[in-house]
Amino acid sequence: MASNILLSYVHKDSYFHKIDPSTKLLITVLVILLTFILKNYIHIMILLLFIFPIGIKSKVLRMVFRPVSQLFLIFILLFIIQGLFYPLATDKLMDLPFGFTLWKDGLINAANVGSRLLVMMVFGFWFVLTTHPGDLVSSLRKIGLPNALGYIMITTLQMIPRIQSQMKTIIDAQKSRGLETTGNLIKKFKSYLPLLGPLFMGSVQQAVEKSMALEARAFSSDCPKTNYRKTTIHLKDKIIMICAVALSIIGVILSWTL
Amino acid sequence: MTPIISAKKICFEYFKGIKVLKNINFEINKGEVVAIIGQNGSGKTTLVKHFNGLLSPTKGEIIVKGEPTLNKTVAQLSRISGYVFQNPDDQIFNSVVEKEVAFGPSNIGLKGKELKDRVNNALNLVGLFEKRKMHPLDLDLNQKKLVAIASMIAMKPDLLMLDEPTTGQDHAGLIRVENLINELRKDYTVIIISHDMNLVSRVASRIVMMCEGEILFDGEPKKAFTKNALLKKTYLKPPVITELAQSLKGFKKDILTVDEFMEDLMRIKKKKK
Ligand SMILES: Nc1ncnc2c1ncn2[C@@H]1O[C@H](COP(=O)(O)OP(=O)(O)O)[C@@H](O)[C@H]1O
Ligand SMILES: [Mg+2]
Repeated sequence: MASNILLSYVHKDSYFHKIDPSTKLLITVLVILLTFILKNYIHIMILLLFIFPIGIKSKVLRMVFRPVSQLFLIFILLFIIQGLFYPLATDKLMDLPFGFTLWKDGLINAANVGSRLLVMMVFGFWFVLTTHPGDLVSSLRKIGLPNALGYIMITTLQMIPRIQSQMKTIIDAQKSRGLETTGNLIKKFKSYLPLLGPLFMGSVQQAVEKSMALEARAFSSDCPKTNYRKTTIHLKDKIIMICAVALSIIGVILSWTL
Repeated sequence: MTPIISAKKICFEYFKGIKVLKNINFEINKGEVVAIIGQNGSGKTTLVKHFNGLLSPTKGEIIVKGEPTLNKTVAQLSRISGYVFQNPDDQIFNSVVEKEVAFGPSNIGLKGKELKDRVNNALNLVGLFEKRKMHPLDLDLNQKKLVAIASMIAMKPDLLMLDEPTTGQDHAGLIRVENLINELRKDYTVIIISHDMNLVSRVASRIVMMCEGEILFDGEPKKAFTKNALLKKTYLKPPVITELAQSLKGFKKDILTVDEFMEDLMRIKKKKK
């Protein structure tokens, strides 16, 4: 269920796996900014096209779209709700039975929001899938991220796969005690409640133990620190970054003038 | 008599191509106390998780009380084969011990007095009746393990599978587990996974040795600890008293308990006179 939506780093031997995390982060941030700056869904969908060459080159294209297909229902709902109940609607498309009206500007609004969401998700997933959390933190620290923040980032990212496997163990333990996890949605939801306790308790316990283990290894000492995973910003990273920024600016100008 | 569990030529892999279980044949009949021993990672947990449907074999089939498990849910199978997880923290979620124990039986439809009796009996059996109103997280690890076992006992399955109940126990805990198993054997069929050979040799009616996903030995405890080559291969160490007897001249090689050792000592003394 939920566990399939959560994604984490997948090791592959690809061009984009090897470039510096900061470069990938910059691309992702630029894309997210662009989705807000660009005027309408057609322009945003053009932005989406960029994921195809990038995704193929990173060997994760299919994985990037897998969670999107699981959220398909949300996109449908978005169109239905916006199409029927858009508060600022003025442009009627057609009348529907039972006194409902389908609004054209409602649908356009849904397309704008939906495409924005889609692009952000797709590039976000691409970033997470191709970037090892350790490399990310090591790279960010080089450009000035404080140590403690880096640590918080890395543990948060590592938590996802851990929580997934822990959830499975806990579900298994309750199923072994006769908990039926098949059935309708309400039943399913109710059956997942007993899982939250052990999951939460386990996380708190682990956090406490982790912090003690860190202190025992002088985490908060003031001396300069080294990284286990080494990253360097190469010339090609700089070129990609400059290209990305340039492309974005051109994109914005085109979008505004067209 | 149909066996409670019958595993026929089962193979299992978590990841494609890495066989964790290789062609395992295994049967357990009513009344047996089977100990599964073997190094960490030899596949003990993986094997027993097949018996209540948590895992399904990639090849072969599991038959529980004469019926194939293929289309059964874990919840259905839990009435027959009860698996107690190694780590009690994965299952404990209630704020009162007795509620925790009542969770399983109430899932299978028990209510009122019958439920209460089941819970109290189970808690009595593990010796935690006095602590029934406590918060489970206020108990120590050993007691939490006992709560986990009690919550399975309260479901009254035919087969109880205890995954490493002895790991991390102090001496008093070990004695408690041993007494508990001797109590359980009266009413249940038991599978115990353990690294404590001293305890295993005393309580098991049958020993299964696993190594790298295969069963290398399945038989009486007396025979298990005389197979030196096998013990070496599986990195298992016989019980201390067995080792002592084996290293002394004239003693039987298959002694498992102190009592047997003393008996043999008397026999040797008599012979000398
Ligand atoms: N959830 C899992 N995913 C992948 N591999 C696993 C999983 N659980 C166990 N394994 C692997 O299967 C093998 C057998 O493990 P396990 O049955 O837990 O051994 P044991 O209980 O005898 O210590 C080990 O090599 C272990 O790494
Ligand atoms: Mg195990």
